[in-house]
Amino acid sequence: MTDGPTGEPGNQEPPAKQPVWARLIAPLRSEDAAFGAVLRVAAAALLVIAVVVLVRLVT
Amino acid sequence: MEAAAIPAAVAHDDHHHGPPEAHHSSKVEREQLGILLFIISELMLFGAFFAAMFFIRVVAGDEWPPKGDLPIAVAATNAAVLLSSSVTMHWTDISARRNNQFGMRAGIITTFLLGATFLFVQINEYLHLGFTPKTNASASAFFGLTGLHGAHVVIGLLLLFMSAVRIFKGAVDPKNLKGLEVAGIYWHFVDVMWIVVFTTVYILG
Repeated sequence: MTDGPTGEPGNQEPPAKQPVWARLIAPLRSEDAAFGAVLRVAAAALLVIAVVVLVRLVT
Repeated sequence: MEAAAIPAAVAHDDHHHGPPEAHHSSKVEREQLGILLFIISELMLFGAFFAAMFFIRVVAGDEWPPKGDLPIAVAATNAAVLLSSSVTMHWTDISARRNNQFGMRAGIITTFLLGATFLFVQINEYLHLGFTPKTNASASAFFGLTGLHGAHVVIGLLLLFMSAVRIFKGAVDPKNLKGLEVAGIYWHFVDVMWIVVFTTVYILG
């Protein structure tokens, strides 16, 4: 027995969106998610560093 | 890991019925709740140190850096070392899920050695900076923030050491890896904090 609606696929409701707090703590829910957060932060830092270096070269 | 996201009540449905155990939420596992609350409190602690550093830099108007330049290349290399340790920690966790003993052992030892290397380089950097926490307020904030992070690396190394002992005793397998996973989450948090500290203090500072 399933809990969800059993109608046609086109009529199924979209999956519920996670609340903001749940998305904020998502990296702490598992090691996989935490590692993903490390990679995202490292990528963001590289972007910031690239911008800073470019600005210093120009000015 | 999918299994980690399964609520305790569902995960233990096969042998536990009735209301949740005392002091035990049915919606989140104890280990996860513990590391969650701990890291949130740590974020606030780091936030206070960042706030102090920015405030002092703006208000005090001290000469920064007090002597010469900050060793950006050394700090960047150290960031790469710590980032590599996150990769090996992830390898350890994946190996544990696959019950790969060699991967677990090699991964945890490599992670520990990379963490120890980071700490050694950081201490060496302190000795060659040419200024001390007593030099001025900005220097105090610098040592406070990087020292706070260093203390977290020390705690992380202790957790890694305990995880290594458990791995070498054969106590970690796909059904018993919550302890290793929590240590991994903490280690990744320490890595993220260094990336933020490095970018703000050494690059933007």
